[in-house]
Amino acid sequence: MKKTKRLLWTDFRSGPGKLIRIPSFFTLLILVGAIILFQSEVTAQAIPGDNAGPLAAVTNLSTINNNGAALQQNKITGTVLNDRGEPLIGATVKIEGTTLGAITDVDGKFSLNVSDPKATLSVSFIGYVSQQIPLAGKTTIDITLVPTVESLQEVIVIGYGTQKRASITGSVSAVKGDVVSKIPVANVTNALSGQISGVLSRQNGGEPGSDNSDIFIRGVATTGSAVPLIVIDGIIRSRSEWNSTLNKYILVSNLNQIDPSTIESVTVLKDAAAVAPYGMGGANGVILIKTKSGAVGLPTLTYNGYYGWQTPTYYPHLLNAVDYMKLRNEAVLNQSATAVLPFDPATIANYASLHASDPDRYPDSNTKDLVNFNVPIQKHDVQISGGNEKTKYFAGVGYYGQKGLFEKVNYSRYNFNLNLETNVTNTTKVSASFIGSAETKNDLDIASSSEQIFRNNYKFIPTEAIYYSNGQWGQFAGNSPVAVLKGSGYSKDENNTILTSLAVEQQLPFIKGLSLKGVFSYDTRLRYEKGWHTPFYYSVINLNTTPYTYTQSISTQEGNVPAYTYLQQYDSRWRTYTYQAYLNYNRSFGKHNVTGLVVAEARNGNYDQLYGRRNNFSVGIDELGLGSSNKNDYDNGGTSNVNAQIGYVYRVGWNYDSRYMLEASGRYDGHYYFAPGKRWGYFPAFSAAWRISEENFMKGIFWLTNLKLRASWGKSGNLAGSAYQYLSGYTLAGNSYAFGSGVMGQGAYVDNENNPNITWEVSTKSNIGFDASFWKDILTVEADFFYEKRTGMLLSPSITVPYEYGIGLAQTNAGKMDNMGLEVTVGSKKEFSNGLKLFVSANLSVAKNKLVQTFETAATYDNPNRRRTGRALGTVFGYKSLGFFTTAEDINGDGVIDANDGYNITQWGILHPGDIKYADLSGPAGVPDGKIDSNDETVIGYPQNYPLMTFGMTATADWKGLDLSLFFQGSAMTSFNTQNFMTFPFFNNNSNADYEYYNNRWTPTNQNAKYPIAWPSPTSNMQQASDFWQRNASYLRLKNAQLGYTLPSSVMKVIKMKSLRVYVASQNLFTISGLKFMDPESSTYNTDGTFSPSMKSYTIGVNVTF
Amino acid sequence: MIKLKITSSIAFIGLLLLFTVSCNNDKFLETMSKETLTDATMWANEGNADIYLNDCYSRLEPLGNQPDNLDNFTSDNDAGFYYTSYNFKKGIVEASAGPNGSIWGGTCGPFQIYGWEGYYQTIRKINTFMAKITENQAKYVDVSKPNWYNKRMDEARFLRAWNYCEMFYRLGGVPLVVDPQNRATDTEAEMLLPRSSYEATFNLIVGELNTILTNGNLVIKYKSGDGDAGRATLGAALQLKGWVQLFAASPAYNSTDPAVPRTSDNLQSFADYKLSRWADAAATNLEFINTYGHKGTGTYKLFTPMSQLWYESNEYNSEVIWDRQQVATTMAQSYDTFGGPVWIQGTYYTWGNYCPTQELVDEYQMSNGMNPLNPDGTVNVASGYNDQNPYVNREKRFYDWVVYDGATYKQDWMPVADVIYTRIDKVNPSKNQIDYGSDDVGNTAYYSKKRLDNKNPRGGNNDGRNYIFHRYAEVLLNYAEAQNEAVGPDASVYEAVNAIRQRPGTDLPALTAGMDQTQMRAAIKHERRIEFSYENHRLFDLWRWKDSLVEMNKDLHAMEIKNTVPLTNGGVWTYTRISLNHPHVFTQKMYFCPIPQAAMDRNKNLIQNFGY
Repeated sequence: MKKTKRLLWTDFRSGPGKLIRIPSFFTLLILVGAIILFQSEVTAQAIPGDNAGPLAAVTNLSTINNNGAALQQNKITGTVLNDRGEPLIGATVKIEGTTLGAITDVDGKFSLNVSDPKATLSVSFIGYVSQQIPLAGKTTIDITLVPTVESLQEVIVIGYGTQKRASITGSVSAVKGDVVSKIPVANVTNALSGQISGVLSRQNGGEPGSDNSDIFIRGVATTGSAVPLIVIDGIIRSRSEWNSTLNKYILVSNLNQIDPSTIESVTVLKDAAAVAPYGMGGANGVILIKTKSGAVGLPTLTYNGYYGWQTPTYYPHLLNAVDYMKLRNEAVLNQSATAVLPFDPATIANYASLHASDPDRYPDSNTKDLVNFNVPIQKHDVQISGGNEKTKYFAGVGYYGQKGLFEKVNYSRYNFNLNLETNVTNTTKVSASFIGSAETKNDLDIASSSEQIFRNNYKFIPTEAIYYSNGQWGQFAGNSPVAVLKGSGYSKDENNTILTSLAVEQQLPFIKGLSLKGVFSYDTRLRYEKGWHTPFYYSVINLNTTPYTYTQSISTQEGNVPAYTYLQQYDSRWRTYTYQAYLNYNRSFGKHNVTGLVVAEARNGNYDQLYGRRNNFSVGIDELGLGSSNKNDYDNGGTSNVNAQIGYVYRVGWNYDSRYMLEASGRYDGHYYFAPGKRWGYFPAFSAAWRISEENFMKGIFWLTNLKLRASWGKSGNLAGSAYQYLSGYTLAGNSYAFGSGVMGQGAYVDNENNPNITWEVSTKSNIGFDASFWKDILTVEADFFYEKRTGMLLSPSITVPYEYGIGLAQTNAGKMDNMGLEVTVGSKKEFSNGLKLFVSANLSVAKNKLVQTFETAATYDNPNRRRTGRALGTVFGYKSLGFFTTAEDINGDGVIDANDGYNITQWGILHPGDIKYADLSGPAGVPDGKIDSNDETVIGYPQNYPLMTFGMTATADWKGLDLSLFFQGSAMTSFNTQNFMTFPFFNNNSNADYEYYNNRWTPTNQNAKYPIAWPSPTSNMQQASDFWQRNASYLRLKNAQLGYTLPSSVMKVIKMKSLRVYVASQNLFTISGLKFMDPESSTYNTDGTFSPSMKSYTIGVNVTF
Repeated sequence: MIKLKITSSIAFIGLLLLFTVSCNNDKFLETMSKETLTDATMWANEGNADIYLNDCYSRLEPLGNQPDNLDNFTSDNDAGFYYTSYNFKKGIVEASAGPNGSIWGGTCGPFQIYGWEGYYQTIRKINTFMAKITENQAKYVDVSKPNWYNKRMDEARFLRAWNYCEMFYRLGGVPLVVDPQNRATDTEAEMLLPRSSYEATFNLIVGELNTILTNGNLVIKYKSGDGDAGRATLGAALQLKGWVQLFAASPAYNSTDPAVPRTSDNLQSFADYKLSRWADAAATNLEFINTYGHKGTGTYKLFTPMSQLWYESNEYNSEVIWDRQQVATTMAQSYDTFGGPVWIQGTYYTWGNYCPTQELVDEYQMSNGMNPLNPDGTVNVASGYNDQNPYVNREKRFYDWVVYDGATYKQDWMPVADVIYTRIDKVNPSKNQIDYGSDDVGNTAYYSKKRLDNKNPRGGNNDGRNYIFHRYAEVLLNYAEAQNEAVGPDASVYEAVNAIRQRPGTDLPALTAGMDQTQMRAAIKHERRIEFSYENHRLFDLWRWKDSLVEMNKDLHAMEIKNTVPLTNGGVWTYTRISLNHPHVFTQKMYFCPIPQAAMDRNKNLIQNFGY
């Protein structure tokens, strides 16, 4: 067992690991090297002709076409064939070290002009092993390519580069873009769940535009921010942000702005070897998204579209009027047998007929009627791509639209993508990428929210009318959900995002294998929020008149909403600049292959926000200037900040004969979060791999296609906390107090004692794994075991001073945590002679963490039941329940369980049969003390917020144009606190209850119940955190099912299309779970039924290629 | 062309060079946090330092913003179940509730916004202010702010004494931190302070107030329009001293048989009983009356009309001694959102949280100054009270403060008057009729309208009335009580109580002459209950008188008003006292709050209060 240290009364300071300060001449060296290289390149290129530099090239394309005309050139011709002797159409033939090349024609033939007779040709074709053929003076060359084993040849996007699957030494998983794009969701994060081992995601409800998932890679290994880093097309496009409303760190990234159908691949970097290049950003794992770029060939135009219907996976079943009244009477009688009943039993018995004859006096309303249960979802995109050896292009436009459960709620997004790549000289490539998105999210009146409506759905009791029979809007406790839904208020959130980058890549032919690349990226986002509130009107019925009369009133939602009209607007903008300089080296010496990479990267950005508000609009026009001219009705505000980061990345690799591979990588990283002198960190990693299957002694094993062992070790960092936490300072705040005339004055205070030494968390990761392929990929296995130590986690040591100290202590880098787990992915595919193709892939991930060092008091540390140290983060503590008190335990029959019945343990208040009974586990002296209090706490559930085990399985079958795919996903070893509106009667102020409770509640005749006895209001005794309310949230769900049909090519020829596929699909079709009343995949903070539920969808779609 | 090529390549390299060089420089990472002030700036001059003190003032609890209030911890009020007071009334108070106060279903007892942690945070702020302005005293030479340092030090002393009082009332003796602790230099003994005794805590508070009074730097009272109105005053210091002396002299703490058993630490009571404590309290309150009060300069005196005491337009009136500043819109009081009739003119207005119990209503006298009920609960026939027509001929404060069945309700903001019906009427059901649970409508048949905003229809952000912590009427009744205990019901006692009873607008007859000390005690308790109802004072009165154990274990009642012929209302309306049916349990330990277990866990030298 690991020795744990108790941090009590110790001023513990844990260093984030020793810094190796890279001397500044290191960068200088690279620089001087780069300049020399460039200068010599310029000299070398200073040859006759129009072989101009990159800038010239852009301005004068025609010169390129004449490229090399003045040189002495040889014409080389040849044919490219496959292993069956058939011509390969569209294979690429390139002259090594240049960007010159040709593409084979319909007969597999090519021709090229080559100036250097000793040049080497490189021939490649997707799905075949590339070949290098030295010309050696020949002018005619026929080449035969052999098919690749797919898993080995696959090129994977990694940090700051790409690598062949076969030569990767780290733990990297990747999926192709079509895997995510075929799932009908708005957001990539929702498509990743279960697809990739080691990635776990949980969806934040189903509200359009806000339904993205929380993503964790390899579980949660820190008390700080556990969100991964998102890199889109080589540029970091995410940050972690503390959200005080949700009380957690959230991932703010541009994933929401990416059209899933433009994604070419998603790669997840998991171990130190893979994430080290991201330095302080890498410890929580990295997700790399590569968007599509053009491919050589004739223009290809595709259209993809789907249309579908969404409906909640789970929706509360609220009591009708009769059952509500019965339950209410029952609860009141439970409290006092002589109580006046709130509802007349005779009325209840007759309610159906009373309701039929006078629905206004005897309503039976169901707030479910306010919800649209079939809401459309649709997506359309058109993409065109193509190119020749000089220039490749990809362009796409897309639309995504999703409606919400209420009429005003919807989300739409337009996407624009453009990706251009052009070889401006033999050795220079310029590429530009533009990703634009325009999102609009519409929601209810700014003063309310969808969540408020869902809460209202419980709080609006069924014996009050939502609508009166004349159509007017009813109320309960002065609230009308209809007023919110049908009023003219709104809120609108528009986001316009542009992600751009420009890259220039220069081969340096005088040193073989060396290239230089400069990248500049500018991202900008403009956000415009506008909210309009108009008073919430409702009508109160007067039952004392005949006919009934109605009075209109304004609802203030219990005082929280103004009775006047107001408008508020926020204008925000973000700008991020990234500069990257790459030096890339890639060369083979015999069987030795050497790669080297150095990247200097700088990022900075800024943010500005302006806010304005006006109250009291006498004319109902939602224009800021038209509000009241009284200055008391004005409000404005604003904020701004800047950020900066610099990193130097390196990676060197060596491999021998693709058998032995070694790699070292790392980053020297500086960040503005920390104090000068505390800003720079160094994060190295080392990895090695051995492809045993390439050894001679293994060659005889015909069924073993590949077996590679991998191991890695390294460090990476994690930014936790927030910027400037090192500053000792007084926070200046407005509107603190007012003297005399009532003019508000500012106030100043110190939040916490400061800590100038604050710095990043360090993660030390070890990973061993293997990749295996049998029978040429009929079976593939990928497995990893990882162990991670997180040190320097930010914790507040406040526990080390008494509360009387009066001020919180700044966080220090004191926490330590272990995280370990394993991931296995098994895949199989087989093509049968009758054309049937089967593919199955399944993955399983387990990650479990443990707090090694944390601050806790003696009270918890000394009680083995309560000790935090050595337990997982988020472990839930509470009382152990012993079921309900039974009527048999009420020995004297007075309806109360107390000492007179022999029960001498103090719980909360007076106890009755049907109340929860708790176990007296301990007391202040360490032995049971006849009192249930914090000494009796123990572990009652799995860690909240993340499941320990996740799994996914994909199975696809193709046969004669028919394709079927099923994708299952699930998690286990997870639990929820289920105490909420659904499981508790009258949870908030006489609110309605759910049949989940009603049908399973304790009554004297149903003592073996699932839920306690009904009381008119929640009681302390039942509201304690206990294992009673912790319920297993494991599940397995059919996340996506799809059946498609591709029309045969004979038909295609007639209708002049390349291909046409139609399909039907369903998302979240069914779920197997012990929780029957709520979605087990929800994030835990959304489990009380008062949020937009997760959705199930049915879609039909089409993929067309022209 | 070659030239261009070279130029462009150099440009490319130059760009790389530029940023690489800049990268090498920490300047790139040098950004600014604009929202943070340095130590040097904060204390540079009087104006800046005042900004820090503003934050200390802002920690005065805005008690007017709470949907739950201390009166809900007594037998006077009946409100919703979702409050901490509801648990308290069921006898659920526990140490493990956490270091902070909560009004929402907590089990911490009658803490409001702050608890142990919150009060000590405020105290540290104040201690820091005092230490820092002392350290930087030489800088404060602004001639336009004469005597600034001395005034602010005394203000800080007052605020610190105020915060210790809040803990003293609830917890007894507490650790006394009077300088900002420093964990880097303080010894363990200096860091882990034990609780001071009840007497030592009392002495600290009174000593601080004495210092302020001796220094005389502060003004006696602010009036409306004064730029500094809202800062601590000599009047507030003297009143607080008199009240704390009365509080501590009371039988719960100054007795041979205190509220909870005495221990050797004397944390929850004085070590002995001394009659002189009553005399001290009487002297201080008398001093107030004779110097600042109506018998002295008249700076402080009773305000009339009583019903307008809490109007925003009457802020800083002659009766106000110490108040929490509130400003419409930006720092508004939301008291009105929570109390008063729920339905007014057919519109839902309030949460219906201030619902007087029948017990409080019965306490209001008849206009002839007699009690409607005898001590045994039977009707006092001589008073003229008719229990089937109970709302006629009651004293004026009843009509000023209580909304009862059939009461006309008219606040200035209402265009026309409404009549509030709480009766159970099957023919003409009213939205305000008592029920046992379908919405916010109260269960007692009464609403309190005392302290409600008269001017604005809803609380929210319209209401800028200051919350009044203490007013002059208290000084009078404090004196009367102390003097009655110290000396007996002499003429000055009668005079003080009658000043309240006979003020214009209250217009009650004088107290019956010739009462003995016990009778006078009962009369004063009665007068305090009515006069200070819904002003967050009753809880501490019940505690200090050791009356809770009896008073808070009684069943509480509502008034059920029904017609004998409910289908036509053709019969007569009957008035029946019905039980509220919530269990009310008060155990001896509840005379104090527990020391939070969380605080004990961090400071091994803390000793828990009795019974927790």
